[in-house]
Amino acid sequence: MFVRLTSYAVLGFLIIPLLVVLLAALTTTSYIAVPPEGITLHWFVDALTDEGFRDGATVSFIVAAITALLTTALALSFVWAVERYRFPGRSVVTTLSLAPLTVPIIVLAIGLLFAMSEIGVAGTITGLVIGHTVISFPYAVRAISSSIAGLDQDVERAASILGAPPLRVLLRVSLPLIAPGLTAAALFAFLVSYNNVTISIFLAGPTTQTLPLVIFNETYTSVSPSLAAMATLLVAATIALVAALDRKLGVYSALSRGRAL
Amino acid sequence: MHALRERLRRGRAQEAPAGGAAIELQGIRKRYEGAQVLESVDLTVQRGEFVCLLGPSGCGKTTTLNVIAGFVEPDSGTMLLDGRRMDGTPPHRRHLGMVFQRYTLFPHMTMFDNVAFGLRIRRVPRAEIQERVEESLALVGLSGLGRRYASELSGGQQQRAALARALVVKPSVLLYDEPLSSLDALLRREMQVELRRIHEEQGLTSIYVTHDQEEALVMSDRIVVLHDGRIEQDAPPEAVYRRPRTRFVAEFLGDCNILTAVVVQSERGAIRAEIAPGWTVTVGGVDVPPAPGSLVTLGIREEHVGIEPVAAEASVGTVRNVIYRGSSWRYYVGLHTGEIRATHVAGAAAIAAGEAVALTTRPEHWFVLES
Amino acid sequence: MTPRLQHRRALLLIVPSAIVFVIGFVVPLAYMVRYSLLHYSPSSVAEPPVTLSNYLSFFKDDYTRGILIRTLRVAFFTTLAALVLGYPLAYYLTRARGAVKRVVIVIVLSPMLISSAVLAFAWLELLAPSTGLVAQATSKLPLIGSDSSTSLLYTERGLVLALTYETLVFMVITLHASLETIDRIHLRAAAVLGARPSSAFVRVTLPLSLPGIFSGCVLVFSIAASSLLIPLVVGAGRVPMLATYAYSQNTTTLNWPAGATAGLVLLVVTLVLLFGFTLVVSRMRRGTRRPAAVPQSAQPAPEEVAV
Repeated sequence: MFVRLTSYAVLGFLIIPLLVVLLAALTTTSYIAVPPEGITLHWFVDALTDEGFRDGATVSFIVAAITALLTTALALSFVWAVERYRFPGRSVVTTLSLAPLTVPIIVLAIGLLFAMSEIGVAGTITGLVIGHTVISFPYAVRAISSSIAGLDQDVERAASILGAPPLRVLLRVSLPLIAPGLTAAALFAFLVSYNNVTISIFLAGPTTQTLPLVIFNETYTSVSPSLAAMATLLVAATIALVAALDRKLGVYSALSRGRAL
Repeated sequence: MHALRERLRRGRAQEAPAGGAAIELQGIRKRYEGAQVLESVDLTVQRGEFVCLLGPSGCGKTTTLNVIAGFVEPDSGTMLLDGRRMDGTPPHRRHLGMVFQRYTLFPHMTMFDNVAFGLRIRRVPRAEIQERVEESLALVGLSGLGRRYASELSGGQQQRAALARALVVKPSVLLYDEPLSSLDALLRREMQVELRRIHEEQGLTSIYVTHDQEEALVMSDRIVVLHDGRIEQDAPPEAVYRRPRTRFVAEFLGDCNILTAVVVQSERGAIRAEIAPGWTVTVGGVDVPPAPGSLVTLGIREEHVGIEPVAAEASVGTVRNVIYRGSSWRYYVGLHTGEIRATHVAGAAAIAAGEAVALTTRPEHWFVLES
Repeated sequence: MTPRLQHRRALLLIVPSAIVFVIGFVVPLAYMVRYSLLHYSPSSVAEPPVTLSNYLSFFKDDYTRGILIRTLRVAFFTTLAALVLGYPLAYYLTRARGAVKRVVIVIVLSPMLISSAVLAFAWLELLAPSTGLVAQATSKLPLIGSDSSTSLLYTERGLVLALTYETLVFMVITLHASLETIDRIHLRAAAVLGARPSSAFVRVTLPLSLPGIFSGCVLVFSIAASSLLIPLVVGAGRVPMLATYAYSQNTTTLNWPAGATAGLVLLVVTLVLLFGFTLVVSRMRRGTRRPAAVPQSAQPAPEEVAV
């Protein structure tokens, strides 16, 4: 009984901030009022037609899409090497691949600012992609590892004894069978990149402000129901992606072993 | 290149000469991380034969099969397939068929696509694929299930489909890696008979790995017993069963008595040996008779030991324990030194524990084991 | 496949990841070390000679030392709050089934999935003086209510509250993983031996979940200590933490050496905590011989405790 009541209270604590954002976007007043005074959807229209919002969403989408593809490709080839070949230093590289998780993202972000400035990609899409790829790589490795480890090599052998050359076995048998892991890795990397602020805040330039940064900047400058609508839209998009991820893999198992965003 | 593909497409089995060696292994050795897995294996499989590789886990039988398939590169030795050396030839160019222990149907394809896989790789025309896949599914009793996925089939059906997938390309040799071990006992027996039937009907050459001696006895033309990477015996089932060559083979096949005896008389083809005080037996069919006075290891199957109750003075031992085994009784008879087991068909009343018994055996049922 | 061929192929497959790893991880950390050892100069950001003076002045200066202490204090109270709130919820989650469990999981995970920009904004609204929900609620309470001007915004307590919200999910997930692995058979055995549910909890469940508590605390502590967005918005300039200090040094003041130093101090604090934790847990495992009840996989290995 005690456990249940406490749990409900804590769940309430977890839900209220999100409700506040949603409610703040519904008010008819020009300032934020929670609970809202009257209900309107026009702040959503406002947000969607806002140039800053659209530019931010576009930058975020481009960065997240490239990050997702790059991370998945890198992680696939990395995990394949580790799972399928014996070589000296195999356990060392496995440990190293998870190292970005042990360093606070803010610390990595500061370092990235220095390094990206040095090679001249600070403030560009390239810089953002590099940063986001580094932090999503460990998660992609996990998602893909479990699906490659779960792939019965006898199935591949069955294909090769039936006459399929190695490339064909890879394309027709192995990859289709690990596709759920690849999709999960890609969706997850997309999510990490799309929502990230800590890295982006150091690496984004004037023309590469991501959507979370747009929201953050407005939090500082002009808090309004329109901002709440933007935030709600970002949350809604995330939830849609998570629902897709959940169908592929089960979000809980994907997330339960580390920090995401 | 084109000629090769054409040959692969039509299947090599039909044009290969009847009789003659399909597979020859010469001096195959393999070492894994310090452990010798295969120590010089020599094996010839004739076209049309059904050969079982029998042995406990870790004996090297699966490694031998993998060498034949090309999944494992031997450290030394040669393998010939239809007289051609296969050194360095990858599995996909060997034109073999294989059925695995685990279910290995491609889970993302229907049965039809699974079976058609090998044919599509060989660029067989569509119409012919349709015809051959259906023929193959019918052969294994899965007609009409072509649109199902593996997850919609039972274990037995999955293995049948895996067999159809291997058969449809008309492989020169069909390899089986304990394909029935995950099925239940009843289904396993049924499938054993069925695999044997298909082997004969299709004129296949089959190499079958198993750790189940009964399976090997039921199915094969020849049994090759492997132990610690070496061939212990290579003979037809009856010979392996009735005259195991080594102690390991006798023990592995089970239900065998293994006893040490002193040779008291030795002549051409037969010896007399004393097993226990008061019990001397005649052993027939001994090629190289050991000298009198030497020790030999003798074996005899439990069902070949006759027992009858006698007066204590005439007895060689006493029944210590009787176990009911459904179709038979098993007696544990204590000798003056050691013990012997005898199995008798259940029916007549059992001899009770504690009774004194005499033992009767026939010379041809005994065999001398190599030490 | 020969070993040499295996090595060559593996190398080929790993090289692309290694390049990104070096550019995006090794080089950045190396630059941090480098800048933290250089001298700040307003004209060129940083210049030689190499010196440890940045570290010395970080610890000597009351302002920066105060920031470090505040960071540790805020992270500590956040961890405590997350543990107290998270344990019952994690325990409840092990008992929940079906649709209820799914809903609870979605709610628990939400702060992890949602951009911290949104979370920061949400807390700004919640804690806002007089209009914020917290202020509205407290104003109606008889004891503290009357003075609605005492907002939690820009205070340490408000920061702890918001950080607890942000980090609770990590506590719950870690504890839940640990509690799930406790075999119910132990509880049944305790019950058969006459233990009441409450004493079975204290004597069986709680001790067996200790490694989970430890790793949950380490995780939450390091996330709270290095969170940037929430302190930036909720604490603003009035409650500076290591992360916000490093951020302002690097982006506003452009004192890269000071920013790098603060970042490295934060990194060292985190790593010391991690390795200390690993030691404690491994000693705990050895001391009580409990590996069967708490399989290794239930606990994040040190390198897997994400920050």
